Amino acid sequence: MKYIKQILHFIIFILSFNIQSCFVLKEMTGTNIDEIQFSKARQAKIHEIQLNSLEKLAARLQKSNQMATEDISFTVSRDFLSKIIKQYIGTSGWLDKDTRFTIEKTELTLQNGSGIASFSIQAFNSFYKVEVDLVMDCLMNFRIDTTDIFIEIEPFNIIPVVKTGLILSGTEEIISNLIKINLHNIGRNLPNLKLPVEMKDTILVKSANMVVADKINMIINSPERNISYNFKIKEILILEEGVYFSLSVDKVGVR
Amino acid sequence: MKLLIIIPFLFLISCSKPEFYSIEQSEYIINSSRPKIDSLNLLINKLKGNISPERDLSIKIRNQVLNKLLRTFAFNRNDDISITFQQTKPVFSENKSTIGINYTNLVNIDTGGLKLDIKSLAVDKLLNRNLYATIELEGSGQVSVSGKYAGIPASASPKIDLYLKEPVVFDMQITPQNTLSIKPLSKKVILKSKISLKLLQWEIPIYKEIPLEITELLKPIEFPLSIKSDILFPLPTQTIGDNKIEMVPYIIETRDCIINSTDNALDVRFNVSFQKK
Repeated sequence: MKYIKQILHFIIFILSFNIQSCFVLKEMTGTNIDEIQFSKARQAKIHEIQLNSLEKLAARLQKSNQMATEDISFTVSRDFLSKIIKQYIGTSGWLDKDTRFTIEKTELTLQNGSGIASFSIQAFNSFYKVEVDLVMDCLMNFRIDTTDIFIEIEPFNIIPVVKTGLILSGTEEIISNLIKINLHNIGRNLPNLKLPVEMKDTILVKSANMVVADKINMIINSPERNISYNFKIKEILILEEGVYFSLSVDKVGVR
Repeated sequence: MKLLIIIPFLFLISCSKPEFYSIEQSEYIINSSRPKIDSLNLLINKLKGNISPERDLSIKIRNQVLNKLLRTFAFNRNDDISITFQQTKPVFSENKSTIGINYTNLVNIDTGGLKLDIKSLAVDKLLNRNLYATIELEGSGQVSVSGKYAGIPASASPKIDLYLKEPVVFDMQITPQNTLSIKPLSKKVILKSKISLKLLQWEIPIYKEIPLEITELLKPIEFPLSIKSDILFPLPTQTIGDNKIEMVPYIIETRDCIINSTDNALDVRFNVSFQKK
C-alpha cells in the first residue's frame, strides 16, 4: 500500500509537469489552434498599438501642425531604419549559459504614428535540447538629447512561432516562457542606438586674411567667429515614409 | 483525500486564463479597428502633405533660418573687418602747369586703418545648388598721407570712407567630412573708397575702386548638420557572461547626395551605408 501510494505520487508529479502547459487539455479538445491563435493575437496587438498611435498623431496634427512652418526639418526614411535593423540579421548571443539565440530575420513596419521592429529569433537550450522559434515585436521610439538623436527599442510582444502541424509541448512551452522573459529583459535594457547625425549648435565663420596690392595697398583681416543658437524640437512624428523631426532655431548669438 | 484536493488544484492553476487573446477576440479587435485605422490614415495623409524622402536622410533648412543667423552675425558688432593701409605711392597724382612751369601734385598713403562693418548679409533666394545673397560693408577712418602740392611737401590725416554692396553667389556641397559647406563662387567685387583730401590748399575727393576677390574675403561656412563617420551598434555579445550586449563600431559612408532648393528652403538628401569596422 505504501509503495502504491508512492508510485501514485510520482505519477501525479509527472502529470502536473505536463498539465502545467495544458498539454492534456489541448489534446482533449482535439484542436491544434496554437499557430493560428498566436498569429491572430499578434495581429490584434499590433492593430491596437497602431490605432492608439494614429489617434494620438491625428490629434497632434489637428491641434498644431508644425510641418509647413518649421525652421529646420529632418527626415529619417523607412529605408534607412530598415538598414539599421537589418544589421541585426545573423547576430547571435546568449540568454543564459545554456540558451543561445540567433536573430534570423528582421522586419520594419512603419505606419503613421507607430514604428514596429520585429525580430525572428531562434533559440536553443542545450540543457533540455529544445529549439524554440520566437518573434519579438518592439516599438521604436525616438528622442533627441541635446544634439544627439536616439532610437529606443521597447519589446511589447514576444510570441512563439509554432511549426506548422505541431503544437508546443509542455517542455517547449516552459523553455519558451523562460526565453521570453530573458529576451524581454535584454530588449528592455538594450542601449539606445545613437543615430550618426550630429546637430551642432554653432556655425564656425573662419577667419580671412588677404593682401591687396592695387590702387590702394592694404591688408584685410576678419577674425574667426562662432554663430551660436539653440535648437528646439517642435515635433517628432513617426509617419509611413519615415520619422520626421521639426526644429526651431532661436537665441542666436555671436562669439 | 489529499489527492482529491491536489489534482483539481493542479488543473486549476495550470489551465488558468490564457496569455493571448482567443482567435475570436483577436478577430474582433482586428475587424473593429480596421475602418478606424483607414479613416485616421486618410486624415493624417491630408494634414502631413507631401513627404517623399528620396534618400535615407534628408534635411530641409528654410531661408528664414539662414537669414536669422546671418542677420545676427551682421548686427553683432560694427568692427567686423579690419583694414590696415600700407604704403601706396602715389595714390593720386595730377600734372599741372603754371606760367610754363610743369609740376606734379601727388599724394601717397603712408599708414592708416579702419574697421569695416558688415551692414547686411542676406539671402535673396535659393535655387538648385546655389544660394544668392547680397553683402553690404561700410566703414570710415583716417589715413596718414604725405605728398607735394605745387612743389611743397606736406602731410595730412584725411578721412577715408570705404563702401561695398554686391551680390554674391554661394555654391553648396557635401564635403568629404560629411558636412554641408557653403562656399562663395569666385568673383571680383568692388570696394569703393573716398579720401577727402585736404593738403595745403589742395582740397579734392580722391575716389578709387579696388577690386577684391570674394573667395579671399569670405571663407566657406560649414553648416551645422553633419553625418558622423562612425556609429556604435548595440549588438548581442558572443560570449557568455553578465553583459549580454556589446557596442560594435561601424563605419558610415554617405553617397548619392542631392542638394536642391525648393519653396525657399535648402534641401539636402543623401544615402548612408554601414560597414563593420
